[in-house]
Amino acid sequence: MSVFSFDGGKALEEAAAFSRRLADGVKAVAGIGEVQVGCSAKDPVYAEDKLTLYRFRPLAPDAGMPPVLLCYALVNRPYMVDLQEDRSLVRGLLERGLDVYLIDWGYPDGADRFLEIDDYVNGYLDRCVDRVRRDSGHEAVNLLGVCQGGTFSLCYTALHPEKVKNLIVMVTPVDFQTPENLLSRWAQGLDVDRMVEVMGNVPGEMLNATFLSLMPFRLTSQKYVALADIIDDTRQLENFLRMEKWIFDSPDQAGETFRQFIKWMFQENRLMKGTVELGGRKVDLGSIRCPVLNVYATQDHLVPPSASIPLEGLVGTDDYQTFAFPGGHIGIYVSGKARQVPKAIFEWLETRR
Amino acid sequence: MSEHDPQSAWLDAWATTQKDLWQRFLTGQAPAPAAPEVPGLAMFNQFFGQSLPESSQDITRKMLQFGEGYLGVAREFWKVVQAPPAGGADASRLQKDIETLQSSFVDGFAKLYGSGPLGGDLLAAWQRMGAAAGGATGQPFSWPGLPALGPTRERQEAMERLGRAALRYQQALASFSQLLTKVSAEAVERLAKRVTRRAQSNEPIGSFRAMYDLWVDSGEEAFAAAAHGAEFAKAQSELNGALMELKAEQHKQVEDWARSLDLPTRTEMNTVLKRLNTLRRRVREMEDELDALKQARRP
Repeated sequence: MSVFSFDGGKALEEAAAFSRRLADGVKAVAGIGEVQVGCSAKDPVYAEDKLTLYRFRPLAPDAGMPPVLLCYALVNRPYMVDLQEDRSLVRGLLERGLDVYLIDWGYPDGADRFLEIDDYVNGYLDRCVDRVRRDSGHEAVNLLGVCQGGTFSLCYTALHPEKVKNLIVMVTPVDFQTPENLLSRWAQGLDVDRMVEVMGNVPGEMLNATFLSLMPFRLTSQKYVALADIIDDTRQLENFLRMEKWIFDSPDQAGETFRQFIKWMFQENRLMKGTVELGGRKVDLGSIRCPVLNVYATQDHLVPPSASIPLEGLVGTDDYQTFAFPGGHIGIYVSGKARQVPKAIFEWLETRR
Repeated sequence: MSEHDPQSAWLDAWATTQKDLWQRFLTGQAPAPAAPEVPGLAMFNQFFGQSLPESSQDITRKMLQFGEGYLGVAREFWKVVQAPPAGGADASRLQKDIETLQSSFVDGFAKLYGSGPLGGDLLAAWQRMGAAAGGATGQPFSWPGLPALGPTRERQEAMERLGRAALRYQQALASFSQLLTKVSAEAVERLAKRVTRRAQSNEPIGSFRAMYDLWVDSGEEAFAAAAHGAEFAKAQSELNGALMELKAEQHKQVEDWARSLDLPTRTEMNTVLKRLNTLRRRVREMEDELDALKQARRP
């Protein structure tokens, strides 16, 4: 019974090779220079405060469907949906002839600390929807909400059902208190009132540290050691650099919105209980009657499937469908299988024109 | 970075030195140096880091930090590999090998993970936020617990509160770090079990990297078990609470200072922002009402 099958020659070979690759790796990373993110051409069509609404330029003949408005999360930057040509949800939709708009929430600063969820949902999002409706001539849009943006989109659709033709939510939490939700477990003991009172906006760095600490060994060490494996492949290295840029490009969170999101969603699970109120109106997911597609990722460690799946029992629509993506929270945009997602969305929309 | 520039030459020299060191280490000509004592890649970052493209700086720092730590762990691992086999029957010999492995690895992996045995970056993020809070006033803390006397009594009390908050934060950080150390020890135990299973099923470990990957799997398992527990949530909550108290006290000091110079304070800014937000909402409501009235008038 032997623990190791190792000799000095092999050890030297491995250590020397790793050192060499590490040195070459640093050169390669430095040689790549600044990486570009966001590959598809787009034009700003509306701006307000820190927000910019973009419309992507078409890549294929118009499919004749209402435009898709992408509502991304406030956490991290929305270019994840259009990271690079071969890893782009947006491109997958454009290539099928869809008219795609994207909300970029920008980077909130001290002037935005008192923005509430109501401001985002009934204010910014509503005005973006109106702008898209006006520009396109369609009465209602296809709203595609991602992660926290999906939660906002659910609230929005419940409050403004006449403006949403079809609702798609991706990796969107609805039940914030399922047992495997580690973020939720940590959020329960958080004195968020004190936190926002003291910090105002919540630093992106703090959120990042929290997300990384969900899988600290893999996310803070292994991936950098493993980088030595792909150092010869410029393409893979660029992909890695883009992902790194995205991961650490974390806007601060408007304090009041953060407070409400943690308290209402994580600590009080109000979406499940039907007790969210925005702008003096109750958010009743049962009033969502339009078709709903719920796209979740089966290996999502941030929004576990158990957090997304309960949506079916809450919405009032008769036309509800799920798409279970075999991957994780980020893999849904950038993995080899990610191309399935725009295809599934398009096919679902095509039958609900 | 071209083949002939100083950065490139430095890195080539470093790789060659590494090979040489390993050669001497493996043949017993040199003691195993601890990771930080090896001609440091950190030095590269210090001298050349700023000249790298901005998007590469953080990644090269991490590559160097974790790569160097990884080589340090590999040296610990090698010490275990080349230790003379313990005597006795197979099973007890294996047990002794594992014990050696555990004691070596706790230290080795602590080096890999920088300031804490687990996720130096995570603790560093907390520390940076604490440092930002504690250091901003530029004044020394008074010793907590001494009575405040005389005309500067309030000022002294404020400094004491700040001092106590800083102490609470340091203690919370230490407790959290201790918890992470426990996770690290638990990870090593799990690693030992994995290694034993591999040995028993005749799948010996054949490389540094295989051992490292097993450690990562063990670490994630140990961390997940701890992170779902009440103790972890409590320590994290206390760390957050302590940091908030420290920042709150620091805010008070900065506001006092700003008021003394007739500069606007955050509290005043907040009041203005709240009023502005209220005004914006009212204007929007009026605009909506106006739109509705205009619509109603249209034939």
